[in-house]
Amino acid sequence: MLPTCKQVAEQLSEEIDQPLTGFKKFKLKLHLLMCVYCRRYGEQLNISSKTIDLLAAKNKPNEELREKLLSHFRECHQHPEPRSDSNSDSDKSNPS
Amino acid sequence: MSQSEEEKQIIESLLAGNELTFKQIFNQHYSLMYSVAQSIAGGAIADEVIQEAWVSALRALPKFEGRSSLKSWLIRIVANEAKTRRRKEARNVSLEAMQENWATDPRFDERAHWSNPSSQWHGDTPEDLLLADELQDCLKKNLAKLPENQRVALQMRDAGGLSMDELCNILEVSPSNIRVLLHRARDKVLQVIDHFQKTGEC
Ligand SMILES: [Zn+2]
Repeated sequence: MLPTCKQVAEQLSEEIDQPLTGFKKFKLKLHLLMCVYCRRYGEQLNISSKTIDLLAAKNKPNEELREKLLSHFRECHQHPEPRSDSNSDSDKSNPS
Repeated sequence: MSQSEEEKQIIESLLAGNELTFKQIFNQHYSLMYSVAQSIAGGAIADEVIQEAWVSALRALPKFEGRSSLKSWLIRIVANEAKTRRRKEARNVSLEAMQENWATDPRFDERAHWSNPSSQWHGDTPEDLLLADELQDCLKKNLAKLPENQRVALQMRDAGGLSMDELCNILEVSPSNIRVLLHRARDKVLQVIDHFQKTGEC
């Protein structure tokens, strides 16, 4: 029995994450060979997934936040650039 | 899983207070951190969540053992931070309800074949599609309407490229449930694009 379109729709999403194997894959391919709607759905599902990626990539880093955190980061590392042999008093030394 | 040499160097550099490294790592992970924070806590406080997450992360960094990648560690912190700030009315649809909706999806006939398939699209790359600002807005609006678990899974996987294992760990959901969440979310995105293609409207 070949999978139904509805089952194929779910399998096509699985394929994006982890390709099917064996007989299951074979039956999927056979269905796709015969079904233009599922072929189209598979392509569109891939495009949809990539569109989400592209959309998220448009979130540009908030510079104000970065500067705020950078000064926090600086405070966390109060002691200035490890200069010559000035050993920090903490037991954890930071190799530069 | 052992930590890559590159990642070890990044962490040592951060622990040593290297500001350039911090900037790079901040920039590199910002968009995913934002997507996840927004998915859980909403856009209005997403940056606050990221700020809190970074403060926690920097505090915990000396104890980071590299059992996960730095990215997946950061995303887990953001997700946890976001959950403490989450809007009370967060909509989480149960897996059972998702299965039920799918079982009665009107796009399929009684033999579970397409009765109302998607149309042929004119643009066939994400770049083409997103040229339309209206579609961008429409997608954002519809992503906001997705159940939280679908939205977060979608962002982590498709925008963040986290592995299925990482998703299972962070979201504490089984692999088969992750597959359902991802499929339903992607299917929704597909339907939104399809509707826009057919009508030019959201
Ligand atoms: Zn089919």
